[in-house]
Formats: sequence, structure tokens, C-alpha cells
Amino acid sequence: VSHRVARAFARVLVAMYPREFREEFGASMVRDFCETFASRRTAFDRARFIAAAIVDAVRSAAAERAASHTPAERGSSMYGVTEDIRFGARALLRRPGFVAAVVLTLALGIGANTAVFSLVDAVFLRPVAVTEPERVVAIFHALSANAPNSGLSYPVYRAMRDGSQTLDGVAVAMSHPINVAGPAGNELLNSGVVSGNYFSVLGITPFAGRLVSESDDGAHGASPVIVISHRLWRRWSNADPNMVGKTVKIANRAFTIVGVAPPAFRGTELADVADLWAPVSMLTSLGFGGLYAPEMDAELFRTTAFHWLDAVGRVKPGVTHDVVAGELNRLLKRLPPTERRLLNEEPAAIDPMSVMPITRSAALRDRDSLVRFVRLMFGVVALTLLLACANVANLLLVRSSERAQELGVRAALGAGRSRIVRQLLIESAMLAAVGAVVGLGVAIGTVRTLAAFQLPGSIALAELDLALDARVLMFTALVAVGTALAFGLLPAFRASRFDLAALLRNERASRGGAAIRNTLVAMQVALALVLLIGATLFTRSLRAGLATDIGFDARPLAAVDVDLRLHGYDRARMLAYYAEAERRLRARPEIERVALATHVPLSRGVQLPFKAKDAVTAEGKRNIRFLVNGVSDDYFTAIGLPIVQGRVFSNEAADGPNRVIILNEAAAKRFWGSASPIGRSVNLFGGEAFTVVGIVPTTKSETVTDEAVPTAFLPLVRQAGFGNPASIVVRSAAPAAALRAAQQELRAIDRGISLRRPRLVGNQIDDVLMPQRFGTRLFAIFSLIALVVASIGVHGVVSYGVSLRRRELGIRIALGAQSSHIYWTVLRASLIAVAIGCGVGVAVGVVGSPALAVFLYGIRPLDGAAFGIAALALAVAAVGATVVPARRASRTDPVTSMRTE
Amino acid sequence: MPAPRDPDTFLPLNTDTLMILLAVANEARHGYGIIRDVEERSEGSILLQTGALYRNLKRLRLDGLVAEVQAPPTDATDDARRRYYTITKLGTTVLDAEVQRMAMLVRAAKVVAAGRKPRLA
Repeated sequence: VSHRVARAFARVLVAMYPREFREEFGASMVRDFCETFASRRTAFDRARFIAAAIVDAVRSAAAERAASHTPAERGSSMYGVTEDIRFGARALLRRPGFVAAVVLTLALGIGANTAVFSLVDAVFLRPVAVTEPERVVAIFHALSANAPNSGLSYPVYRAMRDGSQTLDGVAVAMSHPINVAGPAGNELLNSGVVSGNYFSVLGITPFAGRLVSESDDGAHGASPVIVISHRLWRRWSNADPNMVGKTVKIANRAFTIVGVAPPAFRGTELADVADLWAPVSMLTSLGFGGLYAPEMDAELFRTTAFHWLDAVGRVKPGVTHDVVAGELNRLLKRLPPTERRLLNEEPAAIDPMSVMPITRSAALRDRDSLVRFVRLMFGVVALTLLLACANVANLLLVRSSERAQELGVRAALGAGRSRIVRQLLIESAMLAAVGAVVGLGVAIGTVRTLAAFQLPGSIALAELDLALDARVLMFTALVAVGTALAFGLLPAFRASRFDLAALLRNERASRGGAAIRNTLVAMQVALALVLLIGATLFTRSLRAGLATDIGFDARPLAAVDVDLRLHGYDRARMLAYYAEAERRLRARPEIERVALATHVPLSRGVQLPFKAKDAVTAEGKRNIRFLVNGVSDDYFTAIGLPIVQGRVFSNEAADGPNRVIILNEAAAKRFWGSASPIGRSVNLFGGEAFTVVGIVPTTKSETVTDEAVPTAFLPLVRQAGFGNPASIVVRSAAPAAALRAAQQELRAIDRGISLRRPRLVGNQIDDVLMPQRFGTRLFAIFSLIALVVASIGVHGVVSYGVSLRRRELGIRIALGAQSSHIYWTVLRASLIAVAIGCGVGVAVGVVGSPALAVFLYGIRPLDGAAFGIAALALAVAAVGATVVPARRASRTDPVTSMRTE
Repeated sequence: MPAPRDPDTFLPLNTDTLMILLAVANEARHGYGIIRDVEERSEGSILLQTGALYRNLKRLRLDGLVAEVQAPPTDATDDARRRYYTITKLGTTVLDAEVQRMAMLVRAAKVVAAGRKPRLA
């Protein structure tokens, strides 16, 4: 992709040369440019090359043009660009205030766009740092027709790897959190378990030492090695080169650090970036606990039932993805039929094997919401840039009528209209160029401000590699050129059209430009209003979200998670740990109540399918997915949920035949409508039966936007068998102190257990409202900028209008006009523009706001209050900006005004 | 063709021109070949830009120091439309004169450097 961009860019540069030079050398130049560009390896070298190429093109093209014309042609031709630039620079430097205002306005607009584009660049254009990413694909093996993008099982991976002729290698990886005892003590890290060819297929070379290699693919448990990420290396050892060769402990076994991955490499997914990689042959030695227990070792590598591996392949040059997918499906058919059936016995509705470019699969799960989000951001910054253009165009219009005499003199001396237009456009280009450079600074600042936020799919902005690479710089350059044309063209053509005779009679410019100026003011008002409407919609949505009744009081609650499986605990030790934790925490005076649960509301939960044989509702005939929560006996009192019917758990047997379950009202209603559910039974996965003993109210469970999520509560003593991580929940009037006390006690039980995500449950509302908060912040920043820019614009135009009418107003005052009458005359003209702008803004808002519906919660996109508040705020600002010049006009001293003319 | 100019009137050559002449002195090269040769020869310090390169080539050809030639047969893989440049007889004379002039300058500078006594504080 970047090579196509380079080619297009080279063509733009070549277009600057005179025709005969272009015809003779153009093709060679484009070709040489592309080859030189391709030979620059790093983003920095490429950026430097691009910058030098622009300088060279401007200089060489200007010189060629100057040389290619005879003196007779020079008057009308492109001769003298250099002179125009010099002249323009001098003219601009004479007005530093004007230049500062324009540059700042443009820098905000261009910088915001650059910041958002750098995000697009990082998320969509180069999400994975591998060699020739355009040749790398993710490979999927459908689990069912509804889950086409599932991973591969080990035998299928082997079949693809060994059989494919269209791929230069197939590799697999699986990511999982892992507990490591390293230089920073016990900590939980993200691990990637990878096949020996993983790094070679992706074309990654080590930063230090070596990477996981084919030699690590031997006998299970025989290669206790890890490769650490560049970031982890810096954090662990402060970038000590002797780190390679040291050992860390994982699941009580020593693993040697054999190498460091290059800084840019972050795996093939945007979220959950791996901190370290280990060979897949070590899978069951890594202490992942229940799921990958040693006794399952042989089974995991032999069965086709578990699609547990993420596969990537490198496509041979020139082979299309369809051909690859066709071949992989043929390879699958060679496996025995039992090994390749789809789940749920669906007929072969789809081809099970499929491939997807790695750049697409990097954020697959949340791609839709990411795209929506980035569109929203682009919309906001594009509006801001448009507003900046309108504002600068107005400033230039005002300025060019002030310069009418200077330009008139040039015209009188024989400068053609095109020459004057060119002169003004060159000045615009210079302003845009400086604005773009300052804008890069703004972009860096914007990116830093946004770093605290997460994109959909838990992609932390702080973890993205938001570099200003060659592509981003090219984008900025293009935006700057477009901007210069957008704000410069109209003023340039208007300024070059004048009545020479009138000018030389020393008359000031006529009032003919008023219509254009007022149109531009209306446009600014409209754009600012659209942004303000967005800001009020998001703010009101955030308020609605914060004010939502989540069904219980989260404020006195705090929680911390432990994942005992990762520390090699078996079920008996887990239960002992939980009992000890409850006992110790109850003894602390800071803590009022203690409970354990596998899911605490306002975080992601696990859903499992349930069935009821005596269901009365239509949908109850099928499986219904319930969010499953394993809870201790005190859970409901600790959270503050009353029992509506039946009873809570009390000392339920860990094994025994009497299996009990508590449902929330939403879950019971889905199976039995309004009939009493107590004593009925439900089957998990259609098998194991549980008797309903109690009903609790429905609360919000994952986020505030949840609509009655059906939930099933099981006694934790049973749930412990599933091996989920557990949260320890404490209730207290001082939850922060209670949380500290809980952490102290838990460390005292076993210092080696990592305590994850200590948090105040009340604060989690902020986390689940991340999209609203991000949108509110985004719109707030840009609508504020828009409001200020638009106010300045209105003020500037009204002031200028007043200055043009000075003589007229002076005469009217001299003839006895009331100053209040003058005041209203001035005010009325601009108020009409503001009113039209508001009307257009509201209309655009009405048309555009439904697009925001997916981001909004608790209010409709056509929220009357939001529109009203925004319009009112804007009207106040715009009128405020008009009042000062209007008052000045009404106090015009007739004598002074006549004298100055 | 106008009468050949006195080689000395071309001197001194600017850096880009000199490097381009050196690049095509022993074999015919295309544009990117020249860019690469100059970058290697200057140990990476000079990266010729296409504008500067082709303006120089245009002038050098006009002055008769460089000529355009057929693609060498060795270049079978490459596109035949590539344009190759090589040095002319006059070009060689000018290059020799410039190199001699520079050698003289270097000698003169060495004499000065060698004769300079270390200053005592």
C-alpha cells in the first residue's frame, strides 16, 4: 500500500515541473523516486527522504520553470514562483498577529485530523509489525456456520502446515495470562504460546539472543525457554543486555530467557499484547491450570474438538486468498470425516477453512465498533477543520480588501489576474504549510490527551504505536494542500477582481463582499452548532448513564480478583483459600461484609446455555444463555440484593446429589413467565439438573446499558470446579480502606498470589461508560474550540463591516440618528447570519444525530433539550461577539469618521 | 553541435555534478543506479533527489559531458525503456581536470596542515 502512495506522491511532485521537462524525465523520476523510497528501511529514513524530496521538487521545479521561459513569456507564465514566495513571506511577516491567528486556527484543524489519522494508521493500516504484512493471513477453521472465525485444532494445524503448497509456512499461537516469578516478583503477564516456526513465518528477527525456533518443537516439556517483549525487557532489567540467559520461574519451574523480541513486534492482535512467548511444546508446564492440565496434554494435541490455536500463514507471492482457502479446504477433506465435522451437525453450508488479511483480523472481534468509533472521530475533526477553513477564508477576505490598493498597483503595473491569484494562493499555501507543521505538534499533544482512553475492544490507546510515520506525514501534507485550496481559492479570486479606476481614486472597497462574509459566518455558526449538539448529546447521555439505577448500591463495594489456577492450586486448596480469606476479612473492623463471586456486576461475565423441561414460554423450548455467577453464601447480603422468593444458599454441599440454583427474575421469566419458579429445575448444557431455590431481583450485570440479563447463581463450592478466577467482594462505609485491609489479609494468606484489579465497584461505572466518556471528551474539546473560533469569526466580520460603514454611520449620527438605532442596524445584519447558521446547524444535527444513536444511552438522538442547550449556548456566544463592535459603531464620532476617509 | 568548449570553463564542478560524472565514468547507469552509486560512494552522506539528478543530467547532456545510450545487454531483467547515461570523451576530460584541480587543492592544504606548529599555551 505504501508503495502505491509513494508512486502517487511522486506523480504530484513531478507535476510541478514544466511540461517539456516532465515529458522527458517524468517517468524516470517517478520510478527512481519509488525505488529510492523502497530502499529506505525505517519510518524515520522514509520521512526524511520525503521531506528532502519535497524541498528538492520545489527548488528544482522553480528553477526549471524560470529557465524554461524566454523573458517575453515571463509576465504571464509560471515564472517567478521563488519571487512570489519571498514576496509572500515579507507580506505575511508584516502582519504577525494575523499570521499567528491563522496558523493557530489551521494548526488545530490539521493537527486534530493528523492525530485521528495516526490512529487509523495504527489500528487499520499497519496494526501488525511483521515482514510484508500484506502477504500474511489469519487462518480460520469454522466451529459452526455461526462461528466461521474460530481457531484451529492441533491436528488440523499440522495438516495445513505440512500440506499447503500456496503458503510459505503456517504457524500457530495461543494467548493466555500467566503467572511469572521474575525480577519484579510475582506478576501476571500476557503470554503467547507459539509453534517453533511462529517467528520465522512472520519474518521477525530477534532484538537480542534468539527467538522461539523449530528446535523448541521437540518433546513436550523439554524446552523451558521464553522470549520476552522489548517492553518487558526494559521494565525488568532497565534494558540490560545481559538479561538473555537469565532464568525466571513459571509454575515452579525455571525458564531461560533466550531472547528479546524487536521493539515494534506486538504479536498479531491489537488487544492483549503479549509480554512473553513460550514454545507450544511447553504448554502444560506453564501452569495454566485446569484447562491445560498435564493429564490433558496428549489429548489436546490429538483431538480436533478444541479449536484452541490462532493460525497465521504467509501467502506465496502472486497467490490469491481464494486459491489459498480452496487449497486449505481440500486439505481438510483429506482428514477422516470424524475429524472435520462442524458442531451442531450442520450440513456443509459453508467451507470450513477461510483466510483473512492479518491487518483485518488484528481487531476482528470489535472491528465494527472500531470502525464506527473512528468514523465518529473523523467526523468531529473534519468538521473542526472545515470550520477553521471558513474562519481563515473570512480573515483572508477581510485582509485582501485591506490590500486592495497594493494589489491594484500591481495590476496597474501589468500583473495579470492569474499572477495575482497565484501570489495570494502561494501565501495561503505558506500559511497552510506552517499550520501543518505546528499541527504536528498539536497532533502529538492530542494523542497524549487521548492516551487515557480505550478504544472499543479494550484497545488501550497508550499501548498503540502512534508514530508519525511517512504515511501520516503524507496525509498531513495532503490535508494541508486541500486546506490551502479550501480557504485560499475564494478570497484569491475575489481579491483579484476589482475596479481599478475606483481604487486609484482612493476609494475603499465596496460593500459587495458582505454576502460572502455573512455566508461564511453562517457556515461557521452552523458547524460550531453541529459540534455543540454532539457535545450536549454525549454529555446528557453520560449523565443518564451515571444516573442509571443499576439495581443495587455499588458505592460501598470494593473487590479484588485472584486466579488460583494460575498458581497451581487444586480444588481442595482453592476452597481452603476461600474459607480462610472469608474468615480473616470478617475479622477486620474496616470490613462490614465479605463475599466471594466469580462475577461482580459491571464487568464481563461468562454465559452458559440452560434448558428447562417444563418451560412455558416459546423461547424457553430452546437453550437460553444465562450469565453464570458462582457465589458464596453471603453474596446477596454483601451486594445488598433482597431475596424475592425462596431462600439464599447456606452451606450447600460441594458434591452431593442435591444441586441448587438461584435465578434472577429475568431468567425465571424467560422460562416460566409469571409462574412460580421455586422447586422447578433447569439443566446446564441440557444435562446436569439444578433445583431453583431462590429468586433475586434483576440488576445491571455487565454495563449500564444492559436490558435485564438473565443470570444464574450457583454455590461457589461447585463453581470452583470450573476453575474461574474469583473476586473477593467487601462492603464497607469506607470501601477504599476496606480494600486496603482486604489486600493485606490476602497477602498474609499466600504472598505468591497476584491480586488482580483491586477496584471500587462504584468506579467501574466510569469504566463501562468509556464510550460515552470518550465521546463527551472528544466533542467537548472540539466544540469548545469551535465555539471560540466561530465567536472570533463573527466578531471579526462584524467589526470589519462596521469599519467599512464608518462614514455612512458617521453621517447618520451627524444627521441625528439615535445611537440605539445604529446599534440595532449593525446587530440586525449579523444576527440574520447567526440565525441562518443556527437553522442550518439544527437541520444538519437532525439529519446527522441518528448516526450517534449507537453511542448514546438513556436519551434519544433527537433530544430536544440537547438541541436547545446547544443552540442557546451558541446564540449567546455569537451575540456576545457582535455586541462589542455594534456598541462601538453606535458611539461613532461623526467628526473623526469623516476626517479619516 | 556547437564547437566544443574548453574543459576548464566547466570548473569547478559542484558536488552533485561531480558525483554524477563519477557514477557514470566507468559504466552506463540508469537514474536509480546513479542515485545508489552516489549514496554508496559518499558513504551514505549524499542522497541525490530526482529533481537535482535530472536537472544535472539535462544540463550535462546539453553541454556534451554525458550521453544517453542503449541499455547494456547485461540488463536483461530490466525494463528496456529505462534510460541509461554514460560519460563522453569531453566529460572524461572535464572530470580528469576537476580531479587534478582537487588533488592540487588537497596537496596545498596538506602542506599548510603539516607546516602548522602546535601552539604552546
